[in-house]
Amino acid sequence: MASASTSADVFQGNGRVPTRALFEAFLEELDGSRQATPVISSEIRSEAFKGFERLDASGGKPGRDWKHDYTRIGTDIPLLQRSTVKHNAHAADGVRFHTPDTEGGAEFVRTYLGRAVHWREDKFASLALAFLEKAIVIAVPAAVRVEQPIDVKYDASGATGSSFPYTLVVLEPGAEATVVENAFGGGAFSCGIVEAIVGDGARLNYIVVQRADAQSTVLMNRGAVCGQDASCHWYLAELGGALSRSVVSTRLEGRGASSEITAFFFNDGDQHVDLASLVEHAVGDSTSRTTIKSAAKDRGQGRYLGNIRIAENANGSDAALRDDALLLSKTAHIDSVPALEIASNDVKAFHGATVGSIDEEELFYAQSRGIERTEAERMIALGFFEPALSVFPIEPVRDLLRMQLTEKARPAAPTANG
Amino acid sequence: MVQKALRIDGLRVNVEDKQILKGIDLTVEPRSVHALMGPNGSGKSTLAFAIAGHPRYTVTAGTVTLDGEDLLALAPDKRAKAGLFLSFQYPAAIPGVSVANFLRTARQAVRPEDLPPAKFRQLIFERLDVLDMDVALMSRSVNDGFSGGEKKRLEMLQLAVLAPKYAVLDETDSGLDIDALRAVGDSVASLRKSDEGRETGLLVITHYPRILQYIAADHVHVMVDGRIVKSGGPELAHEIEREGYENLREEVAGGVG
Ligand SMILES: Nc1ncnc2c1ncn2[C@@H]1O[C@H](COP(=O)(O)OP(=O)(O)OP(=O)(O)O)[C@@H](O)[C@H]1O
Ligand SMILES: [Mg+2]
Repeated sequence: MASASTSADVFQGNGRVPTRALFEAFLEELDGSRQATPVISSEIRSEAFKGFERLDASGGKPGRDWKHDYTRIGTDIPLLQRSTVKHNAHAADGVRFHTPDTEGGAEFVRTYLGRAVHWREDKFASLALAFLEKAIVIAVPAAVRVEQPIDVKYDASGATGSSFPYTLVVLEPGAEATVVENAFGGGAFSCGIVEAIVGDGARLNYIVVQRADAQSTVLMNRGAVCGQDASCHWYLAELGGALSRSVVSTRLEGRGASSEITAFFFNDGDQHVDLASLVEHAVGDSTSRTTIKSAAKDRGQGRYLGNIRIAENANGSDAALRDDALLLSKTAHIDSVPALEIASNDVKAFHGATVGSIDEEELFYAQSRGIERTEAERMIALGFFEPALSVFPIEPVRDLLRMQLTEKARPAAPTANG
Repeated sequence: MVQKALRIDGLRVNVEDKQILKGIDLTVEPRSVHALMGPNGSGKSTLAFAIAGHPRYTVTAGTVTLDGEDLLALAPDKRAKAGLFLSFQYPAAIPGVSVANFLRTARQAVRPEDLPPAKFRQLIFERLDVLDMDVALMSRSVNDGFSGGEKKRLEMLQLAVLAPKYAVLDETDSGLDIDALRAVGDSVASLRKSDEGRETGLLVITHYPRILQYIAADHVHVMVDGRIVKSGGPELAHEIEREGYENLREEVAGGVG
């Protein structure tokens, strides 16, 4: 295989190719072209790729009408595409934005890679790492508070290829920042990792607005580690894609650390969303709040795996997990699987879950005020998300999400054959 | 020409195959106030729900028309659009939907011709004021975490904002303190003085004549066991307060046996 033609094959053209062949061609092309000190070595990539081939996607098949088979996802994928990343990080605000090509960027990645997302344990995190093409590093120096939200846009709208984004956020002690990850388009297949290192006393808000194209597969692993008195709040809005598998985790490693996870999805049409959250209380006096709102209509399928782990000797931990699921059609399905693993005695751990359809009394009440049934359903469904949506910290983001949810809540156009 | 009225004729209603209403005749004319009293479980709320079109209540016989229009053929929202309003005995909460949004949507649905936003806001403020309600309430979720009294006031706010042709108030006065009761009375009075509400006819379901000091009834009806067993003028309400329903039950029992 000649490397010149290989490189063209890897990055251009339509159609899908076996992932292994693509990986080999990709490695060859890297060998031929690149830096003296690559961000990650070919050995790690190869190890990651083997991991991808070997590992099962955890949790098995989510629900009886689930249409995507994890053992087959990623066995052949579209050719690689060079994704474009836009951002508005300003050095003036104290933010340092790196790609591995810029000075210091590669150093950050080498230092922290695998610290917050244990890629060796996850099939698709492994795949993401095997193909990692471009990494972004957002670093905020100690005690710097970045007022302006840092927008990161992955834009590959209309593209038909595969992309493997990697983002590293490093907040040094006492730093504060809000990052907005706005992924739309995203290509046909996107598989990525976000790692956040939140230093002692630092505060991170990380907002994800996932609006991938309707046909896309989106497989993301996001993780944070929090030092002493640090806090990390993940806000996830899973809106797009044919299949979205979204794994988010926070590990509380220092006393006084806190985690919040606020996430929602709303599957319409044939959308599938598989959301998993993990909060690890590795030490005591740490708190976590996890709030999930999920809804499905039409033939939408969803699963939520909610995990809280409280380690031995993590006394004084305080964890709460609340998830509510709303089913808006008979063919929609959501599985909710919470798991609390608690190895300490002196902890507070709360879990509450509901699953149901729209309450007839609420519907009748709204109808009795002249509001049509479909409109009433739409209104009540939007209201269901409101407690999660209203905590998103940026108003234009909230407005955007409300608009998107309103759109999704509209009754589906009747299909030709009913 | 059809006589304008909310007209109930020979209405029989089942709940889960059990007959609750056993033939109700009642006509509420524009501007008139009819009070409906009766012991617990006699079927008053059933009548209110059946008129409003609650899916759990099955009409097995009879008709309900609003200014000649057949209400029973209409979905609940269409009944509201035709000019009907029901103040619930136990209003439902709708989490995540603000009172402001709900009122705006309802008003637009019922009166689509309508009001520029500034005028609408002014209307709301006026009505809030009469009901002695806090504006902060507008951004709360509909009835979510509301006290009993707050819920009833919100029902009255909706009544005032929607200004229907006919309204059924199902025990709006129950559980209200004296100030709230007066506020409800003032709100209804001010609606009936307004251009929009001048013609509104009322069916006031209650256990206590006290509310009728604020909303003067022209007619009082007594329902026992799914039938209207007695109708009369305002004095009937006081008679019931003095003597209870026992005599009426006996009259009914005597009549049947
Ligand atoms: N969903 C239902 N299922 C079974 N029975 C019902 C249902 N709804 C009403 N009923 C019965 O119908 C009868 C009339 O009830 P309704 O609520 O109309 O009484 P009411 O006159 O409004 O009483 P109250 O003064 O206590 O409000 C009662 O015996 C009640 O138990
Ligand atoms: Mg009742």
